[in-house]
Amino acid sequence: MQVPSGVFAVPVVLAAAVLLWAGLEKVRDRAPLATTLSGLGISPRLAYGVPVVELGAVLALVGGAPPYLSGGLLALLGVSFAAAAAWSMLTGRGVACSCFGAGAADRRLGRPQLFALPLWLLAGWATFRLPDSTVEQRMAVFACVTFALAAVRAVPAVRGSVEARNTRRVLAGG
Amino acid sequence: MATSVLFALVALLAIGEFLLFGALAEAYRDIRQIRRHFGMVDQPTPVDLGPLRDAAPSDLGLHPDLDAAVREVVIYVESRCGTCRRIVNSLDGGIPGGMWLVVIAESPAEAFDWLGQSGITPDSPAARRVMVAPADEVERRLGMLVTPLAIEIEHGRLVRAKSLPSVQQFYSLVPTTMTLDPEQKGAPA
Repeated sequence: MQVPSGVFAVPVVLAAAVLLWAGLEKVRDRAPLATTLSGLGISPRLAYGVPVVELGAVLALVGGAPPYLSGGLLALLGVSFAAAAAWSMLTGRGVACSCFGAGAADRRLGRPQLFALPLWLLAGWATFRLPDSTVEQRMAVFACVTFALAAVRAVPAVRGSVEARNTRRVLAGG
Repeated sequence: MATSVLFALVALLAIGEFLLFGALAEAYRDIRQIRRHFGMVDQPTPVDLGPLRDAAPSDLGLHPDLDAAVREVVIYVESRCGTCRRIVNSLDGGIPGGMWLVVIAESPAEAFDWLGQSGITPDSPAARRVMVAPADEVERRLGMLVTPLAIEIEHGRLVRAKSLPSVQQFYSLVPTTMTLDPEQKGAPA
């Protein structure tokens, strides 16, 4: 059975969306990732490098870089995340995840990163099967994905504002 | 090419929004943590009754009817306290069943002058559940002066006290009493 080539874009776009979210959150606040790296016994200075690689993989996909580069970056990141989780579990350190910045500081590196490894490898493999696309098409998808991420990111901010306003009204009136 | 640039600009704007919404969500999370740290949340704060626990309400200078009450709540309010003013303003001429007010004032006239703004006059039925006490007397009997303060009475004994941060918490204290007495069934508590 012939699989439509457009299907291969799905895991790639999803992986790019996850990396874009994670990379931007780490750029906004590097402290949680530095703590995670310290917990893993790695120099916290690499806190600059991780988001650069994550966002670099996204830019490679958007820019139409050769699949061995963009797909290789996806696979490299997936293996790195899984290795960090395995190391954290084996040493029993219970290192904080910081996968998406400071938002989920109570989550620990562990099984989710190990289970996600095949998905990262799938996304990396799918980059070799992507249909030909123009810069314009890739930029359109990129714009839609960033817009969707911004909309999702707005939800906790709006909820927080509603909660803060309700608390203020209850306690101080007005 | 122009379309690609346009898409790139949209993406850049969306990235900016993403970062700003992230910062905003974090700021609200900080506000929530600071409020929790300083106890500025809409939750009543327990107040230790000390030796007054299990005492009869009349020992505290409260209405003698409360000594035989199954479940009633007494609220201490004064006109200088903002939350007390909001509670009194919300009464709209009546006091919920099972609730009593102790207005901290120098005289009944002064107390009803304030309560009159919310429709409670000395002649209104709700006035039966209003007590007036000067600040120094309340402080002498309770050992402190906290307003608005709720003291819960169960079976004629003072059981617990808490300070109320909001009007909502005042109404959440309205007691619901179920009775097996056929004459009392359906009657307001």
